[in-house]
Amino acid sequence: MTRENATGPLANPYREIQQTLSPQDVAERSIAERVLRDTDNLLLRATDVLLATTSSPTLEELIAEGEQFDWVFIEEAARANGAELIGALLLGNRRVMIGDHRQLSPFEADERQKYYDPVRADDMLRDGMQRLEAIPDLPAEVGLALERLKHDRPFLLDVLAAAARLEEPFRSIVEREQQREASTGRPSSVAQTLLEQSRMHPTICRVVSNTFYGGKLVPSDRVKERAPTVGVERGFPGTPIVVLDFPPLSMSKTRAFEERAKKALSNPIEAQALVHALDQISPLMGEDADPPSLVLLAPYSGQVERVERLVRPMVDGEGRLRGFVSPRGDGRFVYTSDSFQGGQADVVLASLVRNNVDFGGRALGFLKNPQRLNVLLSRAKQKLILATSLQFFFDAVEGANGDAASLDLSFVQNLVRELRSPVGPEDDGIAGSITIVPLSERGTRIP
Amino acid sequence: MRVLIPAWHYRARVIVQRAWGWSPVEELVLLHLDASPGTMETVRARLGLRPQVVGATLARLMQFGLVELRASPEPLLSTSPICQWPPNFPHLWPSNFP
Repeated sequence: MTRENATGPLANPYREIQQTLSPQDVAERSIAERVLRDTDNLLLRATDVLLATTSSPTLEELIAEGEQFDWVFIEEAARANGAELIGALLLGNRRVMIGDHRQLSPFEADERQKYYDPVRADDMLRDGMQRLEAIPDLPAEVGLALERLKHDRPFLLDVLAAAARLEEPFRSIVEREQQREASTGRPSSVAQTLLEQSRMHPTICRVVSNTFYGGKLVPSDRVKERAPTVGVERGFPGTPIVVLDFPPLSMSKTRAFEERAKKALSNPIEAQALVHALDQISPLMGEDADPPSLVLLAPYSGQVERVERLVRPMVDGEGRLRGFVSPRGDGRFVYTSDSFQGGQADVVLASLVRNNVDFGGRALGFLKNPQRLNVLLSRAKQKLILATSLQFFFDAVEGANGDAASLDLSFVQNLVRELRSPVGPEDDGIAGSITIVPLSERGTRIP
Repeated sequence: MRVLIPAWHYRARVIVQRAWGWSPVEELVLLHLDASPGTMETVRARLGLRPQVVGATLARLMQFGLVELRASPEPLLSTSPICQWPPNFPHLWPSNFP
């Protein structure tokens, strides 16, 4: 049967579909809206493959309707907390979570961990019931649970530990499995570490691997055989890693490298150095190849805005910067490292911003978090250009194992050592090493 | 001038459940099965729908008890008694409807 010759009651729904596709007046448009919404929902339930963010309200609707998929895959699962993961996990009983707990944690994970400190919990329990009274319709079980938590100390500690783990479920599962593997000597049946990466040039991979992954991360054959896509001009170093190395503030005549406008932190001279470097690189392309991409990263949004202002006039009418395309195809070339997790580009120019006379975690600011530094350094496919002061970073953590006993900053010195050791065995015989370009406090090259 | 508006303040427990309406596509499948019970394959072929859409529609119609599986004389999907036409009510289907 076709819609043209539909007769009897079937004619009505066909007419409704017809009107929805080309409504003629206000009444029909209003009906069309409803029909499209209801049909959207039908198509959603009919779908074989669904792509959604973990916080999408669509997931809630599918769960309420009892939908089940054969497989659920969760990408960047280490960035989701328990509340964000539970919806996706309920949509199927075969689940694959893919992530890297050595990159950024879920949003505000550190802040939220403070809620699970026993002293803080005691405070909250003291007047917890009074506070909750403001919420109507609480189930009676809440009162019973609070009473038990107040009087049963071991139970409270168990609950706090479980809640803390659920703030970072991916990390806690992986770390528990690693401990289990170490104690039993048998491979985990749950978690598997993927040691081969297909993004970074072997030299960049070596630095990231030795600093953050205990030297276990290796480049794939695909990476080793890849043709270079980035050229250099006017004597700029052709090595996969170039460090534009400023003196530390403690050894400079300049008053400050960092500039703070309200709360926005930036480093003008490092921003200038990146733009200058940008002028000395160009894309190398085969005839059929897509043009390579480029991104500028910084851990601080103040520096991102500063670099953005310098770079914007350099973007041409086709949305390209010095012939390179933007990494996400949207004409944007400058990002904070946090917002670029999951992204990649052929060339990464990064400014680490910090260069001051403080010490330990205070000197490093955001960069005291190894996960953030890992993300920033591991985005480049072919070339990584870093504007920073290696000596500042080395000195800032010298003898300081953090401001608190729990803060281990040894990764900072490991990174500086890696960057200063030009050729390592992990380079796999591929031409490439690291060039450190010493710059003066004004950004001129020191011969 | 002061205008007094009578008002009452109500407090009530409510449960808000978001319920979706029925798409005309779902309506088509229901009406089709009412007129001619069949299989997923016959519905798909006669109405020109994708198998996933037919599956999702039938699942929902069955959840609501509107469609059921008739076991005899041969296994077929058909509308359940709750949505069938009252026996003494004039029938709207043309006599030659398949």
